[in-house]
Amino acid sequence: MSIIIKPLVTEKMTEQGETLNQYGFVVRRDANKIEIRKAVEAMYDVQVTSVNTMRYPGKTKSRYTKSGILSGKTSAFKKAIVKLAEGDKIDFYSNI
Amino acid sequence: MNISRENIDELNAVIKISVEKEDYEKRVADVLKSYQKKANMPGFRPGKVPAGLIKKMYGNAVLVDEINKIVSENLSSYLSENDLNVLGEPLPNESQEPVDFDSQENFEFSFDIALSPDVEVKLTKREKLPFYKIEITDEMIDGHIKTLTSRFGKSEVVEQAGEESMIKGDIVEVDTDGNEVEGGIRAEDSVISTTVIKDDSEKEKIAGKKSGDSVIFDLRKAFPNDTEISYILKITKEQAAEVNGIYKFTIKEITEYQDPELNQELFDQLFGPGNVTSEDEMKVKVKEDLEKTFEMESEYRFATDAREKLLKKMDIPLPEEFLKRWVRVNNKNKEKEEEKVSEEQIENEFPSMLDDLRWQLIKNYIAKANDIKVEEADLKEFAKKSAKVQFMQYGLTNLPDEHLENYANEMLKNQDQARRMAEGVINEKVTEFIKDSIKVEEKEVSREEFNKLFDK
Repeated sequence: MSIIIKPLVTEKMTEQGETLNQYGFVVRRDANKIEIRKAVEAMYDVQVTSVNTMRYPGKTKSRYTKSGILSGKTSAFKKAIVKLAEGDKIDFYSNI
Repeated sequence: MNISRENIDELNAVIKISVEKEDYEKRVADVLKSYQKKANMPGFRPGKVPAGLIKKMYGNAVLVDEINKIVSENLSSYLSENDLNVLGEPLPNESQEPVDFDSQENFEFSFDIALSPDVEVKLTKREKLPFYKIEITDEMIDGHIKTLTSRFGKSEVVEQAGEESMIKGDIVEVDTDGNEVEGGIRAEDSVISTTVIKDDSEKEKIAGKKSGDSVIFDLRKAFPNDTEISYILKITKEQAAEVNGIYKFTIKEITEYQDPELNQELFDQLFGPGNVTSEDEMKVKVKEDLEKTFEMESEYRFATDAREKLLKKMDIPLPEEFLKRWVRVNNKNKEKEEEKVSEEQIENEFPSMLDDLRWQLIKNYIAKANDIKVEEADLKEFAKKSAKVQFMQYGLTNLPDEHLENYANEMLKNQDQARRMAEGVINEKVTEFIKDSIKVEEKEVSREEFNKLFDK
């Protein structure tokens, strides 16, 4: 499995991309900052200046329905915010 | 941003404008930003569409637009800064390379312009031009009076039928003995006008008859026209086509048109109360009116003559090649199909267009050199005058001033019309100026001779 699982495409991250040149990804839980930097640089052909990571725990989710209580769990994941060198850009919408 | 000019010859030049990235970058970004705020795209809330997406969708269009704006702005400011008098409009150079907005960052555009030639008009008293005055004959006055008064004439009952009578009576179909034909056509109260009877011998039969008399005549001979027969016999046109034979007409009433009496009442109606009190005065007044209208024609003739003379004298060179191209391009860009003219028409009208242009240049020069300007008051006066002329065509001669003024103001509100008026004022003033500065020979000519002048 590759280091980068998927990009974070949200209004918040779009805004940050435009103003701060920061882009977010969901990454493998055991990936470290160095690996993430390398993966992003290789995939998008850009220069990364800094990487911030954060781990999110999975949460139990339960719902009350007619046929009893449904319960489940969201999986844990690691999020990485990558800052690019000035002038570099990642366009997540290039294929629409 | 770089603008340079290359003069090809006296009248033609090429302007080169190069646009660099710094010139347009900010403007494009600003426009895209405003687009981003307004864009409505599925999948995004309004105003939250990513900038990259907007750029991809509208970027090129905006770029083209902005560059276009920059170029035209700079071109016009360049022209005004350098005091270039341009004829027509700048046209893109034909050798212009196609622009690739996708990959290019710096753009270069070249435009052909036509410079207006230096015009210098010198008018001296040595130049001569005729000013034709139309001679007013008594016949003209009488004719004019007749048309003026005819509206107030009345029909009056007379004793005897004459040359121009309207005769009312009953008409029946008869046989050769003068007895009514059974089942024949008959009409009551039909009206015959003696002026329309074609055949002289039939006309004579009626002339001199009195009310109560009856006449027998050949209807077909008197009125060869089916329409008249159908009107007289009160039948359809199809039926009238088959009408033949003789008819008896019993006269009931004879009326004749009478010229109105020339009295104070009539004068008041025609010229406003109290302005005219006798026939002689009316003649003088009519003569004045005629003089006024003829003077307008004389002025017009003079203006045409002056134009011709100056055009001949000056012989201004013009960049014809360019102007022709300009006319064609303009023609092609017209939105409405019916406004477009054919190539042939352009070819035919081109020489007169050039002359118009030359005359325009001469006029501009004269106006500029002699400080002729259009003032607000002039414009108003002119509008009032043309309003008056317009109303005169409808036969309204005595309109109150207030009314005219309102109408004139209304006309001036229309920008298009106001511009035309301004042109008219300039025309008038320039003509006036020409008239003052050269020697004018007044010539009195008859109406026919005057009309002949235009036939040339």
